[in-house]
Amino acid sequence: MSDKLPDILKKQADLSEEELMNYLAGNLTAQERHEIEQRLAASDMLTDAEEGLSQLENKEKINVIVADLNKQLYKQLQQRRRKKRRELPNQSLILITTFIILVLIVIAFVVIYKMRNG
Amino acid sequence: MHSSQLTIPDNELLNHYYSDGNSKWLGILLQRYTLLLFGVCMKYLKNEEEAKDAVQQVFEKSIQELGKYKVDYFKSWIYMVAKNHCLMKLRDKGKVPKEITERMMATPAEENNYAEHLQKDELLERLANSLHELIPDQRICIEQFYLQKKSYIEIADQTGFTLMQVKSYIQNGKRNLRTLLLKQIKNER
Repeated sequence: MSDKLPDILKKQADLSEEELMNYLAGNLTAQERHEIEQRLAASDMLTDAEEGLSQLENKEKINVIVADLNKQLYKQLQQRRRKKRRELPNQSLILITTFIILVLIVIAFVVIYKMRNG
Repeated sequence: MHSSQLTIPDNELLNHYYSDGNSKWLGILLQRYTLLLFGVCMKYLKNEEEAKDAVQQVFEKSIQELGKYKVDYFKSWIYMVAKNHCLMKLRDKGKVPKEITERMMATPAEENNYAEHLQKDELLERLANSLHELIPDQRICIEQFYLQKKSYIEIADQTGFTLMQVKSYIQNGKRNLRTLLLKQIKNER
């Protein structure tokens, strides 16, 4: 049996976006295709992604879609940052209010205690 | 993005995020997977607009979840988040293809390097034996792909299988081989 068999279990290096796009565009030699396919076959995520991306008729559109999604991601992260910043003053307001109420209760208790005991 | 940030491993980016809470680390990490996530969502949802929406929702979910607990293997984790999201979408629509349920059952864990535990000769022998236990279609595709170094298209041309079938036989054949090997190792312990 061939000594190439352990390749089945070998951990393969990840594919870069460029390599995947070249593969999808069909710009590779048979040997290069096979090399990429071995790396694809080593990862379920890569296999699924390649299958999904190959369904798009216009492959050039992929870069535009990815850029749009990254722009959206940036917005999502910015919104989260803003939300976090808004949450912080709210939390400190709650803390300050609680502290003032507690101080007022203590003062009220002391005043009542002094009035009762003359 | 700074060029040095491109080379930071995923787990290091996550550690930076866990230590200082700065979401810029999440941005760098998630951007690495945008293309793959879009591909995965396209595969399952088969619709460009739905796939784009799904990726955004996966991002949203990831941003929330990563703030709550520690993730060790980010790639496997985000892949499962995306797959489960797509499966839920398909379930809501009442259509869950058989191929998806089969893939969903697969363990997302990191690849086990069995070669580390076995001597090369022993590994070869075990693999050769396990290969014969696979169903014929899977065995043919695995042999042509790994032993004869043929590409998917060449295998499809020679066997008459579709490209999808070739990919599926290789993927499932590999998974079954791993399971068979694991079973053998477990039985010996």
